[in-house]
Amino acid sequence: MQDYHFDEQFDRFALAMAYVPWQHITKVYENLEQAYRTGTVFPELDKPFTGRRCCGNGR
Amino acid sequence: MFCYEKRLEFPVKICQPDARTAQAIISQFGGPDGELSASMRYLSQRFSTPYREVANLLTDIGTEELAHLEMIGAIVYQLTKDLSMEEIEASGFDKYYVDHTLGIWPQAAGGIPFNACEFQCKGDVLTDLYEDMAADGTTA
Amino acid sequence: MGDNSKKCEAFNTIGMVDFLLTDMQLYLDTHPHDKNAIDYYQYYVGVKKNLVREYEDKYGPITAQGSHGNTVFTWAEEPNAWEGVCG
Repeated sequence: MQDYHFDEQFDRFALAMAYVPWQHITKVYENLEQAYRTGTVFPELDKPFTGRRCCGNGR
Repeated sequence: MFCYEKRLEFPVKICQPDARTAQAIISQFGGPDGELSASMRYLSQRFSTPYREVANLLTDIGTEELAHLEMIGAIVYQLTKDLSMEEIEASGFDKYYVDHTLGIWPQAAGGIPFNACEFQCKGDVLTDLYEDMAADGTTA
Repeated sequence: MGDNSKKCEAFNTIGMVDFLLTDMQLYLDTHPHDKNAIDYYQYYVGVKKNLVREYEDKYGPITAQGSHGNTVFTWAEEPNAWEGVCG
């Protein structure tokens, strides 16, 4: 599988296609209960549902 | 091949029945973006996936979605346990009750029965993965 | 009551450890050469095996093949997962 870092080589990506960045583990939650309650062991995937659409300003 | 452990992936313990909430939550059981749809989506798409890593990922996610299905079933079961007829009528749950009583039947909150039109399996790995992301809410 | 809370604590700990395995397994599916992730996974596989064995010896089966009894097949007698016994 191809592995591109998030900020590299964007000009090589073809137009009109969607891409999914490759995950690189940096850390996991040390506290197992926190991971269990959060619903993921990876802090970078901790994206709480706020009940509304993504904002347009890239937040 | 599927194995089963007699436990929920995350505990569900609801002490207060609530028929109105159950009517909304049932969409997560049998609705178009619910867990049954997710399970069937991933477990169907994996057959035609050309990369083993991705096919295995779809198997593992689909399996986990079945675990989620069980949790949602548990939620609806506990929300509707021991309801009185007054509560059933007052909440609007009577429309579901007349056909299913307190059975857990996969449908969307609006009443559409679960069906395979609620997911797609195109046999093209990129198309299928986009379908997965759209349904899973990651592009919400 | 005390014994039930110990049972539920053991039961919920199994769920918590298994969750870590489930999440890390998804990562390992697409990153099969990540040694740190593999070590993490294998460590908790061991933890879960021990927790399940201890739980099944004391309280009853979590999988059908974990039934230990000689006179009663307890698998179908245990409360079902959706009954909200431990939570």
